[in-house]
Amino acid sequence: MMGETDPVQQGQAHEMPSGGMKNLKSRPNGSHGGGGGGNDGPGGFGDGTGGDMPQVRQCATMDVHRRLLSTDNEYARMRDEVENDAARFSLAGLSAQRPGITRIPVVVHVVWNTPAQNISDPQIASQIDVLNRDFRRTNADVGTTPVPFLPLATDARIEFVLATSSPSGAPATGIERRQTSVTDFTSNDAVKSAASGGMDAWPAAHYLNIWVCPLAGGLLGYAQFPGGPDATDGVVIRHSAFGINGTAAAPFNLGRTATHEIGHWLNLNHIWGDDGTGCSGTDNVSDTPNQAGGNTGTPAFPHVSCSNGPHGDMFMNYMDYVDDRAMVMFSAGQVERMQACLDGVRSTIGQGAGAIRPSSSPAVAWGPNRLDTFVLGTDRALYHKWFNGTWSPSVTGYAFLGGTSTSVPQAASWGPNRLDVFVTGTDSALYHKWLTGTSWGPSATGYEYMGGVCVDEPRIVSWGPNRLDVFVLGTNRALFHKAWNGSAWSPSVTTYESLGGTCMGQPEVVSWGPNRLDIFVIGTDHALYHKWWDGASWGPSLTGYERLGGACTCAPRAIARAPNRLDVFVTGTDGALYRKWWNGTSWGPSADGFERLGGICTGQPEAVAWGPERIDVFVIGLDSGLYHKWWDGVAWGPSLTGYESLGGICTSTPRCVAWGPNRLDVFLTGTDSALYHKWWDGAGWKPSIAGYEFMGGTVSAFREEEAQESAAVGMPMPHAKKPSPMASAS
Amino acid sequence: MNQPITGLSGTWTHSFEEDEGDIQTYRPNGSFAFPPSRQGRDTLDFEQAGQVVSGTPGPDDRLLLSSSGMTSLGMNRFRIGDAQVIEVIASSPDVLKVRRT
Repeated sequence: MMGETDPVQQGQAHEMPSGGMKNLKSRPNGSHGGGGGGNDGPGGFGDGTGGDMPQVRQCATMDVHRRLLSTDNEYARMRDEVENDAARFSLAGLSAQRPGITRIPVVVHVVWNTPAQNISDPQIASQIDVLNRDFRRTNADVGTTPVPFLPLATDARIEFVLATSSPSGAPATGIERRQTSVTDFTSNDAVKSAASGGMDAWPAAHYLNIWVCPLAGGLLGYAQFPGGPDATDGVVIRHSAFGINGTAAAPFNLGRTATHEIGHWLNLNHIWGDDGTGCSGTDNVSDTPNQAGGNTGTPAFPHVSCSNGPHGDMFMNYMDYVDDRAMVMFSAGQVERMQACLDGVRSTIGQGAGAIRPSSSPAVAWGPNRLDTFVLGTDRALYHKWFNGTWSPSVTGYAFLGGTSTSVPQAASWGPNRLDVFVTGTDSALYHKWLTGTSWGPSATGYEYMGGVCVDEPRIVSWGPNRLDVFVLGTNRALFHKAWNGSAWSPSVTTYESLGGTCMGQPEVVSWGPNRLDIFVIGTDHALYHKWWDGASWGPSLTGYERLGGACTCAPRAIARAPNRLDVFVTGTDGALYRKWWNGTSWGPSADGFERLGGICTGQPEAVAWGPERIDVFVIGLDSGLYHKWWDGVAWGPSLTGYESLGGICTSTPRCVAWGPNRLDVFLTGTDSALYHKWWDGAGWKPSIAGYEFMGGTVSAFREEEAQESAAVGMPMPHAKKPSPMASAS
Repeated sequence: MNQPITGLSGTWTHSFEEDEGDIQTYRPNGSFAFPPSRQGRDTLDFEQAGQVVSGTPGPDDRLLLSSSGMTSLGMNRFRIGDAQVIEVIASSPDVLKVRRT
């Protein structure tokens, strides 16, 4: 039970640091000039992973492919880039930058001529299930892999889910249908355009497009390699080779045609190297044996070609031409190539809707090159500003969303064009509004009343599409929870489940996978406590907590950089930053110990992860400047206890978002209470190492009103609009 | 079978299940029910003015098309492009049988 354990103890108490986080050289306004200082250790950032492009691996290619390349210079250039990425991965021995599972939203376009071709929803669902087994190596028949090849059968860490929102953000089933007058399509892409009897693609940046249709000539399906035109990106599958029921017909009735074609879509080549029946072609993967031509039917093991005995061809690979029941595996090298594709040319897919979900924040990103920030104005109304290449409504302007809030707005996103924002009202109840596409619910300036009497800020996390878990502290400082399952709030829209405890400061929650939640709070003894939801029950019990030690002086910040990996950051009584981590089996550095990361911090640290071996931490120093340190998988930079100075005089907790590998966006307020922004683009800090982009606020008006306000409100900004009372949905 | 063939026309798809030795069987698109096959099928589209468009299954299972000139060499033999010669063994509205040399 929280607060009933041993007195405060923290074995890692250290002397005050004399190094970093003390200099003040710049202000986050005006020219944003001036340099940082007080750095401890090397100042360079980004010298860990993701650096220079290494040499390109030379690959033999096949005549037919060369013919295609010669026909389209842009396609050829993109294909070169894709191959460079794949080679860079392989040569540098880089691990994938995406943490954990990539969950790819799928839209299935059913284009039918005869009613039988209008396949059922269950047939489509059966295909998605097959993909989720084959790309996770959970297919039951993987055990039929011949023993010499079995160790190579690898989990591709990719899952597929029917899209739950359309490109415009409207709720969707991920299935579209139309009848066509075309009796049979060919591989000429006519099915991918409404004008030619098919259906138009959804944006390739966010969806895997699958067209299901009648195909001429017995063709089972075809794909488009990454790097091609968006309008035709995706795979096309014959209706009778799709899924495992309905019209699916043997021997292509186990859903493997889609597995094979999506392999191409993720840059896999045919396993024999597409050189006819020769031995000179390559599939650009090193752990698949050299093989003559494609195998068909259900070959007997071993089938030797190209002197590849004794084990012969890896004909049971999804990228051979065998029957569905004979193909059961991707190799480790193929998985590496697919992951390189996801980190490279397909880096935008599956990020918003499938990535590990950080805890709610006033700043979120639901996709690459997309940022949403929420602030309260001096009128305590909610305001919104977003970036999709340019800032809207303008760099310094904000969209008015009504309400009178008493907490820092907390936003979460479970998919493209979907945002859920939570605040507490003047009655301390929780209020909610949501963005679907371009339309706010329950209305532009209205809110859904969600009951409760909340202390401090709510915290929200989404572990999957159409799923929200909300945590608040009650007046008894116990933790309370409610959840949205896609159709209803439980226990109800205005009631909460009590999770016990006596918590200081706001809770922190993170999800590293579907149906998984980890919650961190500070107890009355200032120790860190943990509880978790494992899909079936709360651990260690409904109202119990795991004590993790420490003497914490701020609310914890937690991140999951990979499944079953957690990092928690707090400040200690010496003001230094401390970390503890879960490695999948145990807490590091010990059950109740912490790793000391130096500094003298004020307020709560901010932490983000853009890859499984990457952490970026931001803190505010005694000088109110912003400081940064990073974990590159090997060591802390610039040093274990040192920090990179990023300038500024900050008046709020820094909020950082990473919308992709090697990308960071930091938001904070300055002494003028305006919002400021800086970003890391992989090459350097912009607009400069100590500079900030001014994002609006009227300094004098805000200051006058701020003096009249008593409650602490984070990231406020002024706005000319009149205050309006919190309105609940009518 | 040995009647001279003066010209070829139509669009044909390789029905490789019916091949006999080095004789390849093609069936007309549209009127023949090809069984589903993961192994793609070559196509031959004989156009006007002595052109033929050959289709070959590509690395992404999509048909790659290339157009070539076709000249009659006599004795039911035709040169396609620079390198390929086909000998037509049989030709009717329902079937085209060729030997590639």
